[in-house]
Amino acid sequence: MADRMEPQDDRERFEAYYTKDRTQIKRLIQIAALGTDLGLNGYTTVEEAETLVASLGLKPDSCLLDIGAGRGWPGSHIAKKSSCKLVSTDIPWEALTGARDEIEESDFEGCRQVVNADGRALPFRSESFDGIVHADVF
Amino acid sequence: MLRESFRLLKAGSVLAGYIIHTPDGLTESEESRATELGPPSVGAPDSPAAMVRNVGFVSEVQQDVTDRFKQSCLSFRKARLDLEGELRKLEGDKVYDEECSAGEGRLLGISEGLLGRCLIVAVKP
Repeated sequence: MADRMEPQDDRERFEAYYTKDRTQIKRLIQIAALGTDLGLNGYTTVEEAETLVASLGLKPDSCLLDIGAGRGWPGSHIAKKSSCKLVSTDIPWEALTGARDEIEESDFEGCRQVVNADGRALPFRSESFDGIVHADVF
Repeated sequence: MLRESFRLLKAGSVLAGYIIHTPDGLTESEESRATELGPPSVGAPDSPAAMVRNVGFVSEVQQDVTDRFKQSCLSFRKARLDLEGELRKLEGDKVYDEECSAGEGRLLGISEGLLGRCLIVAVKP
């Protein structure tokens, strides 16, 4: 097995976390731990995602921003349940390509965008969103 | 990121999510230990509710979900142990051991009362 480089800062650490190899590994662990492969990434359970759906109260013409989206959970679940538009944003591109792939493979129809950006300085106009979701990033 | 969230939301809209945090009232050494045991995001000076209020949100709901967080951490730990052979081949020994250690750190932090997780629902006035 080749040596893996130690991350030097947050960006490198996040990018190492979301390589394709690690994504496959995390799916294995998720199935073993939670009995499901819903694309869960992190600690937010399905029940907790449902609580976010209710809390956000979004409508089909709403636009949801998922900050620190990773591979898309739970933002994608919320958008699907609410039938709203979704913008997923995060730093590591590998994570977002995973999110984009999950969106394309899902049966959900609707506006979905992935944006590679730092949550501390996002490239959107003020007051653009009807809801913001986050999970273990603040 | 909270200030950006406030800027980007329309008035009357909701910011909702889960935050891993340290409880109020920890000593400096306890905060330091929590930062070692928890994920990098842990270690903010204020409680989650105070953080969202400080940037202008009205905090509507704060619900502790630490018990469920602990159960998830235990499930992930068991999964890593059950899949040890396969994971060591895929990740390498170094990464496998580091990930197990990080997971144990989180469980230790929770059991010592240094780490918690909560739901925060806040509204932009």
